[in-house]
Amino acid sequence: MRTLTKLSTQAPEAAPTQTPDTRPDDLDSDAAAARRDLEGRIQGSGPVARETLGQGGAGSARAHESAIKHVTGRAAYIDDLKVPADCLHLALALSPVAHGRLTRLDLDRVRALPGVVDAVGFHEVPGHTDIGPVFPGDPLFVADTISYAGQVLFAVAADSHRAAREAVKAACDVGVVEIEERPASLDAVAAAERGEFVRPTHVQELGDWAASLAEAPLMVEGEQFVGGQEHFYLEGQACLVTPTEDEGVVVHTSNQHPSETQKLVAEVLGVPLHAVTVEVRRMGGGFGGKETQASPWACIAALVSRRTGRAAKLRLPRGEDMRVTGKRHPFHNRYRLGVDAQGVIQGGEITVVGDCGYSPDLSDAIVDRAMFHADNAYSLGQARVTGQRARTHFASNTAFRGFGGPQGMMVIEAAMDDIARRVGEDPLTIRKRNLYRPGRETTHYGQSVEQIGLLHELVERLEASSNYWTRRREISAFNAASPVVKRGLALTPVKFGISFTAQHLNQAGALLHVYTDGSVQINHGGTEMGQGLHTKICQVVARELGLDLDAVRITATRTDKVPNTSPTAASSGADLNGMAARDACLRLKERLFDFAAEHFYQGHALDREGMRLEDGHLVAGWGESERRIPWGELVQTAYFGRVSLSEKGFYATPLIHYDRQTGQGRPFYYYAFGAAVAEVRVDTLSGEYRVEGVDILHDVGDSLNPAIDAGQVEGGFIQGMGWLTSEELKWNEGGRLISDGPATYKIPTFGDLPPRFNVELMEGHPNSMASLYRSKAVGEPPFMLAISVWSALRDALASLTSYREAPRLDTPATPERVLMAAEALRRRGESTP
Amino acid sequence: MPRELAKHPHLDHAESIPDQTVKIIPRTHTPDTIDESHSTVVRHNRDNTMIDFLLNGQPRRCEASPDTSVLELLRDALGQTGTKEGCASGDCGACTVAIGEPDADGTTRYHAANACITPAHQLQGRALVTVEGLARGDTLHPAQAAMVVHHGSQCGFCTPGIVMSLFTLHESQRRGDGERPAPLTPQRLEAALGGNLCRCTGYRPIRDAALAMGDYPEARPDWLDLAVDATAPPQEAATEAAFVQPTSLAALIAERRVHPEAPIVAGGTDLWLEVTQRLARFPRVVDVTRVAELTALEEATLADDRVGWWIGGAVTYARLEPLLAEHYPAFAHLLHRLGSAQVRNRGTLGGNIANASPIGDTPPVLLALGARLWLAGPADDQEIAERELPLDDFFLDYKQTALNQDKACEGEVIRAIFLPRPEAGRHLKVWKLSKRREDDISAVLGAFAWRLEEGVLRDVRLAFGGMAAIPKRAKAAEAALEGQAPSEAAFAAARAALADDFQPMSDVRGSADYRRLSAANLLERLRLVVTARDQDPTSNSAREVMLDAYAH
Repeated sequence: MRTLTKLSTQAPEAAPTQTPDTRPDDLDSDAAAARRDLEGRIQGSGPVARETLGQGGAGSARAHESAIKHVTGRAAYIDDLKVPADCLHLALALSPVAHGRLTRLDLDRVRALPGVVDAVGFHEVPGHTDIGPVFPGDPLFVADTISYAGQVLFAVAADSHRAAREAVKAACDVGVVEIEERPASLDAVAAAERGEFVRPTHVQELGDWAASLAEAPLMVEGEQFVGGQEHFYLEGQACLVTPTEDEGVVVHTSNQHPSETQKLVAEVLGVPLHAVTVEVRRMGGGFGGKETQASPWACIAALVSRRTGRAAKLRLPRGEDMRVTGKRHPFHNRYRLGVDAQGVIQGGEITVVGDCGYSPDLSDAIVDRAMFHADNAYSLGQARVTGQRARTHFASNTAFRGFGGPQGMMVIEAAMDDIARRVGEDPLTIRKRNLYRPGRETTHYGQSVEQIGLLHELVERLEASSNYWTRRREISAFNAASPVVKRGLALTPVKFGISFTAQHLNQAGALLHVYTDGSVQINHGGTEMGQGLHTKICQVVARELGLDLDAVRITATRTDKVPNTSPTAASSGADLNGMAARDACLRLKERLFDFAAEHFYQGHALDREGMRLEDGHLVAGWGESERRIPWGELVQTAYFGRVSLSEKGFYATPLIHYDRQTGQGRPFYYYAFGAAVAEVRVDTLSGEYRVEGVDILHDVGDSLNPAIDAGQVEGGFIQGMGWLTSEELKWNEGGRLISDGPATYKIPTFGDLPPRFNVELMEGHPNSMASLYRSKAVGEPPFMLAISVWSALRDALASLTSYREAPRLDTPATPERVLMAAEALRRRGESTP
Repeated sequence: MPRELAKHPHLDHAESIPDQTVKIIPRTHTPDTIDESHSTVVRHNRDNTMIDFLLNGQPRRCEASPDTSVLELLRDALGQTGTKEGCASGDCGACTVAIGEPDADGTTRYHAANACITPAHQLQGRALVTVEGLARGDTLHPAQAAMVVHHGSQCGFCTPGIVMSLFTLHESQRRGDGERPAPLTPQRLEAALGGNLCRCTGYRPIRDAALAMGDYPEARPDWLDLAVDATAPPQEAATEAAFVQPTSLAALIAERRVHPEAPIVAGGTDLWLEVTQRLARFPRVVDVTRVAELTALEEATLADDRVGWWIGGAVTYARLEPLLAEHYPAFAHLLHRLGSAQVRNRGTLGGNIANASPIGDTPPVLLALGARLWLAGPADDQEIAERELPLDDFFLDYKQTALNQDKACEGEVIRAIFLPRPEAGRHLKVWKLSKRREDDISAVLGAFAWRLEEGVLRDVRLAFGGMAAIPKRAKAAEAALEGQAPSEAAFAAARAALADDFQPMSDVRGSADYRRLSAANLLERLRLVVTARDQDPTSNSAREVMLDAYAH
């Protein structure tokens, strides 16, 4: 068949990926030596290239479908789209106070300012004014009550981005807004104690936790604060809305949940959903921050677009983006656990308090997921887990990679270290003793943990490959002789439940077109935010249709192609949409096979039974009687034979259920596992530290694309490390975010990449459930591998007490927190010699 | 580093960065350009002047107002959207472009810059390279090809900036001046890529791409070697609203005499945040990057016989680096913690000083070294008034300096900074504490200089950033150490004396308690360093007193 893509793949193909250095040694020996030196230290730095399936089908390490567009600047993001000449640009006026009443808003005066084309606020909304995604509580604009600093008061439309921003400033300067400020509630624990919740408290309970706590030989307890996290997607929130000739709009948006945005835009405009089309080609990063919180901007731009009949673009400058959108929930966790003399948990209770901000948003499910992961990979025995959803005057905290899971895991990982110090064992010993095992495989929410053997094998393999015990001995000796610099080591596992805990979201659709030249177009309900979903889907289609990857083109996610889709979230993108795409392929294949069996009958029929698509051919029969029909010919013939070359696919995850009344069920189709070893070096005089080495072994079942999966593992780990170390959100006493840009909010940068970073995908363990080619979801689970860094920091600090105590270390564990923890230990040591 | 919004750490709780509902803080020497009529009107052409430059090898002539950035010029005026806006504050690197300037022998040399905070008019007579220009037809540049093959892009939004940083690294590798390319050590990679944030990959594949791109066959647009010497002359003051680019001190001072209110720009790494973050308008801007006297770097002997160098006020960190690496490695190392390559290529020592941020990184070091300033300004009689003063006398109060203390100094600029040559036996240590090691603003910075003479400390100078409203020496702590043996008792006294020197405040970068404790602990580290040196300067078995990655 013809070559269908004109992408300039020439260079990378021509480039010698494995070619030895051709330059003379004497010219380049230093460089080569430096590179060898590095490579020697970084094993596993290349993706595990399993090109076993050829053709770029599922299972091979193919490059991102947009890679060449990325590196040439041709990949278009929302702000890059060409806009109509009359396009309006929007800017937002944000509340400067965290709590209060909007007593006056004079939008007529705003509209009279020079350059202003329109101004909209609460009273300009024709339809719904509340755009809460699951539960009500998120007003599009402030009506009366102001609930956080950064809440949207009104929006201004002007002829340029700059003019709109200047107009907002001018409007505020001339006093169109009057606010009566009130005291803000900024302490989640105090709010919870006062019973101020965005959703009711939920409890999961297994067995008689109180009795097992009372009867256990030892009781270990603690509390911790786990900080939030700004998504810091490099592309900020953005959308471009154009009016249609009917009553609706077309919305281009950087968005993980196009269907929800479609619904909310329609409701805000007061039009049917079929009047609104939402398109997402790609996002410059999402991480959960564009699951619910990309919708308001689309709604506002749609409102202006319908009012003016002009295109409207709204993109948030970084500082506004950071102030106006919610973040990963900060959590306050407490635990009381009864353990036996060996440090094995008998039972107890865990309470997690999520700081939800001012509205529910997704907090119900997020705190649920924190509860579902308060056990991580360990049996809690007879336990009660309580999750509270505190209401505070902050932006409404939202989805972020892990969705509460990481915050929940932090409490049990803290407990593991604490138990180890109490019973005088190495933390790894205690962790291994507490892993789910036969006889102790039921979680506190009643799901039985499968693949326990995989979990144990994974931890043991990593323990051996990372030389954990040798390093432990070295480090102990080093620390004994080094008063200032202390080293720390930790191995932490991850068990992460895969499925939306809201059952209805576990469905997906796909739309497959084959054109008469044989080229294939696939569309599905998932969105591409860099995770390689589109690449994987193309690989699925190429594999099912036996075509070269270049023959398959993916198109932008659109609500008019595949409707009623779920958000691309919960790591489920490939699991769900890949299955739907595969379903479409299988249906089309069946149709083509039926047709071929009839049509290509020449003397004797093609063998319908063993018919298959491979290497660009329909193949029937085996050996001598094998018949091969080129794909292009098959497609052409089918077209003239009036066979539909288009098909839709659908998938719904089986088996899962959860009863919120009893707090029991099987919310997860399966679990993904992983483990990481981190080593740190801490200067206890300054609090500075470095992550010196990381070893990771991670379970993705049978990988759909090892390069992409390794990228998710590495990227997730580093992002998790940032969450626990340098990324500190700070608000002033008035509740205003003061870490509102990259100058003050520090995500990891190049130099934070650990000098030794060994990442390996666990092989030979296909998913025990019938997932897509027995693969496993990979988006979120690796994020929590970074807890090993935090635990290693605690380990280093514990050396100051000769490992008798694990100091409390809230997160992010900035140099300041590390220093203050070290100082507290030292001072205590002095007072009790 | 000079990237601080005009913000006092002490005031963070009170004001932070003003938002739309708070009136803009007037700059000391800029008229408040934000009035209602001006602020909402689309700019008229009368404000604009022309820029002549090469864009990816093609001559371009564009009209732009003086406060337009390179990024706005590219994306809005020229429709070139490959270069992305990630933060509009020079902190993320998504907008990284390469700017070519002629070096001493006329060859075009490219450096990475953040387009979001680079004034468009500084492109005058320069060559701009963007991500759209690198591929030769369908053949990708090695930096691009290596990124594809090594899976270096995920969401792809930071990728154009990463590619441009890799491109400038690739250029410096292949240039080599007839010598072999320097090895790509972890330190060099960090220096080249530390200014490009990536939220997806975790950087490992980007590092692999950087290490591999040298192995790719050379595929590089020919126009990269075009000379950029005289596409157009710099812009002298032509109109009332203009971007003025004087080439001599005399022309600069003449401009300052007429328009003392016009902001001075060199790297723009701080000033341009006024435009992007606070929506300031600059009807007139004075660019000092082409003033010969301000870009000179020459050896000198002062009247008191001290020898050293006069470093022009507009000399960039990148140009300063080789000199510091040779004579003050601790100072050179600090430059890498101070800012990314994009910032080091454009930020200047003069800017860092004149900006007078309490958390600027170079002033404490210069205070510890006894630096001096050479100021120049308009005199009454059309002449240039010049004066010299010790840096100790320059910082007066929060953002108040000898430059703006009274009317008599109006229009003054920092012509040059005197850096004394290291004296035998005199030591310098510079320790910076921040949340992130690279490209972060200090919570606390300590710069310590001393001699050890017959077992006692002499000429002790201890200067701190982040501990007061200005970069400031710890005179009480210095006194506690001067003439003392480096004993535990002497240092305990010095640590206690810090309480007399400083009453630090809490802000987004650290609490007052942390600042107090860590500043004192830096003196304890100093004691450990001094005594270790005293006992056995060559010993490798000396116990670690700090982390390698931070030691300088």
